[in-house]
Amino acid sequence: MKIMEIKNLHAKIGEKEILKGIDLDMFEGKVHAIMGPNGAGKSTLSKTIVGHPDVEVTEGDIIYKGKSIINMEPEERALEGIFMSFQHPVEIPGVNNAYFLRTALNAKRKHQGLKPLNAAEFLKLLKAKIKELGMKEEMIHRSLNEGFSGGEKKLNEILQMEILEPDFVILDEIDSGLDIDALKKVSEAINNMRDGKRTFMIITHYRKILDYIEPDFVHVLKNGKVLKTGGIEIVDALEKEGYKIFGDA
Amino acid sequence: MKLLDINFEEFKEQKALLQKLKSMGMPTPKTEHYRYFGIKPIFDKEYTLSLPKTQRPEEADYIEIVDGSVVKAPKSFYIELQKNIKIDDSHYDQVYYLNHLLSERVIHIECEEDMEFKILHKHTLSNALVPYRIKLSIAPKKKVKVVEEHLVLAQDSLYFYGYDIDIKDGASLQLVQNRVSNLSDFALIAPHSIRCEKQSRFELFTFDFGTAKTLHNYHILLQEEANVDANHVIFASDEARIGNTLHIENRGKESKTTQLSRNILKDKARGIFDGLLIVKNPAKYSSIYQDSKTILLNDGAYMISKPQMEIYTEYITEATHGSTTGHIDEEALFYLRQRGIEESLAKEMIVISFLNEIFEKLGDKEIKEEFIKLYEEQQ
Ligand SMILES: Nc1ncnc2c1ncn2[C@@H]1O[C@H](COP(=O)(O)OP(=O)(O)OP(=O)(O)O)[C@@H](O)[C@H]1O
Ligand SMILES: [Mg+2]
Repeated sequence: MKIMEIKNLHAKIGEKEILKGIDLDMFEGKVHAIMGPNGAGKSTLSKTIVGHPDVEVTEGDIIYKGKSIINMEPEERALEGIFMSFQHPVEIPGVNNAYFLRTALNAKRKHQGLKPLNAAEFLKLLKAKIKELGMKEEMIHRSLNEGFSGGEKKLNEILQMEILEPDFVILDEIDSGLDIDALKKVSEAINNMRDGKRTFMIITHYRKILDYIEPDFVHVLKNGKVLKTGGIEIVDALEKEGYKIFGDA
Repeated sequence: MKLLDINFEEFKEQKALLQKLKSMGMPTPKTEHYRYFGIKPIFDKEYTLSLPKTQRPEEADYIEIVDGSVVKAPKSFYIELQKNIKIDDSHYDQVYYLNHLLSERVIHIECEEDMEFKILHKHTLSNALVPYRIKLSIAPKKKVKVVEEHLVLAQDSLYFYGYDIDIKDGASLQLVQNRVSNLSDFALIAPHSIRCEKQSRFELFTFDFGTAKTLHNYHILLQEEANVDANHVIFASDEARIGNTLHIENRGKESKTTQLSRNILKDKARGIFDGLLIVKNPAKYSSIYQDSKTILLNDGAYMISKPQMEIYTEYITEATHGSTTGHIDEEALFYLRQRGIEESLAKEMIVISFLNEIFEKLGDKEIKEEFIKLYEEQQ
């Protein structure tokens, strides 16, 4: 079943058109890998899906769970289950990591008609997840991403994904900057969350993470368009020849 | 009467004060520390001069000052009304001298023990000019904490008040000034003078929330190894003009100044931070640090931030200053919204986080909650 259908999507940032007619179907429970050269528009596509205010959709549509989302507020999209791990997570000094996560989780629970978790209940849940990910416990008491190393920021994104249990997960270069052990942990965490219903859109430049995660589909994005859709064999071809084999959009 | 029409002949016994005031002149819009405050309409108004009355205070566990008169005080406190106190002869603010001239008797609170207390100021007279002053002396090696609050019920009035504080060798004072006013026709000008003797410590926390016209002018002197940690929060809205101007002079060696200013401005409010840190030649191996940050919640709000340093010694341990003014960080806001947090709450989280450094340093939950309440009321 299609969970997201992107149809002839055109989008610009400022005056510059970056997405030039994206057509892409993504399916419930599947892992979609997105690859493409620097500047192809991968992050812009993610930002368009989550409703970043810098991006303006000029044509086309995004249908998620049967509804158009392009006019929804970012927080509504999030509450409907769309999660994006940022390529560059922002640092927010003064906002306590644990407090932030609990606020986010309780916003979601409220949306689902569940009662909020109190600090103690939440901390218990959080500590278990932290341990699984091999994160340092002190990180949850620090300010959100402040002074975190590149890898720690990425782990923190995964932690948020685990706590929020979204339905549609976009991981924008989650593997960049992770050491070998962290990459394994993150891949395990992602695999553990593959439950046949949750959909993943994994943006990456490297084969390594795809060896752990084994995507169902690989899409090649270049110059604001999807040039090719297939399986893992696409990655093999890319490794040998580079992006030029798919020509220009 | 108008302030500018005051007949100084009446005060001719106060020679030194008069002379100071004459040589400095009354403040005008050109006076550096009044430049952005809008002093003219305030000084041009007609007021009835109301001098504090002397009365026997009722017993209470805090000090209450109503329109300059002490009406409540703890029994054990040593409070007197004192004439001819020793004043700061190098204050940069002429209103300091004017305030003293008009306040013949100064409320003197002597702290000979470690103590903590609260001062509640009530400003109740409308169309009035009310001057009063407080002298606070902290005995050597004693630790004192004072929290002051202001309750403003007066309209179209101008209040002058301020502290002359003496923190003796090795003593410490934490002064928390919590000032909320939602009356836009109320003006407060408060020149303070603080002397920090050897190895003493002065912690200042000021919170100015509201819509009034408030200006605090601090002159702080640091002797050897004295230490000042000054923190200012302004949350101004409507047509408020709220400012802190400071001259902090490091006069003794190894003295240390740290200063943080955090401002949140809304509507057409104007915030002023004008802090001059001075390191005199004898103050070798001193360090000074100053950082002012402002969030403008909308266009139309305006911040004047002037962090400044003057250093007259070659041997300085640290001298850092910085100032930023901007809107809420859009990327941070988006990050929180992407996690399902609605925009208004996300904004509030960012605004509070911006003040957290100061709230946490003070460790006072009430003030933080008061801020959150005020902030939410205004949304
Ligand atoms: N805020 C912006 N203002 C102007 N141009 C932008 C902005 N954001 C992205 N772009 C441009 O849009 C194009 C696509 O950028 P995008 O970040 O989507 O690429 P990407 O495929 O994610 O690349 P990478 O692999 O390097 O992360 C680039 O040419 C980039 O310079
Ligand atoms: Mg990118």
